[in-house]
Amino acid sequence: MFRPNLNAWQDRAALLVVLVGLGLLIVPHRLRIAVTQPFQVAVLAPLRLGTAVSQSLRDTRAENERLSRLAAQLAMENARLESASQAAGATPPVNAALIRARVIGRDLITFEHWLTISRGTLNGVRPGAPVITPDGICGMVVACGKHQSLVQTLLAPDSRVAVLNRRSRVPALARPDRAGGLVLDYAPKQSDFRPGDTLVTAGLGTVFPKGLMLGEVIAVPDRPEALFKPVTVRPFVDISRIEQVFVISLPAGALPDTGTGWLENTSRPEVSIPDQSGE
Amino acid sequence: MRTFVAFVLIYLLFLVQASMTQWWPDLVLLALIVVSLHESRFTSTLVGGLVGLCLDMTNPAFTGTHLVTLAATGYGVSLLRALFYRARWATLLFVAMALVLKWVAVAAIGPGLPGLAALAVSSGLTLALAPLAELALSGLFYHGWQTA
Repeated sequence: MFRPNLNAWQDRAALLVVLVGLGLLIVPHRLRIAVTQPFQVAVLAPLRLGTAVSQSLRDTRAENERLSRLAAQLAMENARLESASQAAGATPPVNAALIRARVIGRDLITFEHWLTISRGTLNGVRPGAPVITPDGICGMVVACGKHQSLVQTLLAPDSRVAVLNRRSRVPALARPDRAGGLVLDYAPKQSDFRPGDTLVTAGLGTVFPKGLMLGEVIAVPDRPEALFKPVTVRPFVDISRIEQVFVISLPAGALPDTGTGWLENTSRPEVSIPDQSGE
Repeated sequence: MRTFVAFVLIYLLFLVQASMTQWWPDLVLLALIVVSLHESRFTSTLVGGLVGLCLDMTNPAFTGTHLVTLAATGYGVSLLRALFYRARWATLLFVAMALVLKWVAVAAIGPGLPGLAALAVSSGLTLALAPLAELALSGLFYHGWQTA
């Protein structure tokens, strides 16, 4: 027969524990919470620590993923810039000298296609030399006298300049349009040109060194029937107003002839300039 | 020492259970019953009371509910275990009785019962795990069946 001795000290102690529990149940709510709060902090500390560590781990993991994505983007950007830098030639090919010249004459029909400048062969100017202003390229010297030179501007009908989109690195060929601006030839239909893009010289045509500012894309009209993308460009240089230019005096062979001279129309017109005194 | 280790084990199970949902089995109750099958009446009641107090700390507004329930469970199991010869079957019965006591206490003086589905799943899992818990903990701490 099962007859436990319920009067042992163990039973009295156990009963005391149960009574303590029952006593806690009748303690007023606020007092109960105040009394148990320190115990609660101690008992649940590992749980809170675990939650905090878990949250910290999640945050760290999210931060790690974000930084990994950023690092990948930066690595790609770095590779792109290195590629662009190598393509551009990290160092300038030559120490080009700039020859300052005044505009002393213009063609009498448009005032923008041809300029006469006040420097000639005696000053180191040679046919084929690029002509620039602080805003960007202006044209190229096509004929030289001793004291004057004839400059074919960007807006002359025969002018062609190999250009490069500075953002997307897409090359194309800039030629004048009938509206007094420039338009790009041979820009593939899927190429990335957007209004606001800056165009620089591509350095492909043996006349203009790479990286000179040319103009800004102002419109990329959608013409499904066109073979190429008709990109309209506004030159940075307002040729109708320039009074002073700089001729870049490049030593012979500074820009290697890669057989792509046709890109910038290096065939010189038959022009003779009478010998006059300059400035 | 063995009692202290048993309490630490139950406390660790409490930490696990407190971080789980209501659908989980009552691991603390299982461990307490197995410990009570081997320990003295006072030790079982004390461990049950302390672990019950820990459980009450997760909801201080009802402090005392789990303390009374688990202390009574520890005491009752320790008192009644002499009625059984094989602990494995006794565990099942004790777990069933303790679950009833716990749910009644939670409904009467505690925060209230969880949903019926959660209650059924949790209780079912607790019952299903009872023989396994007895086998594992007895083998780990007590090396077989011992009578009072």
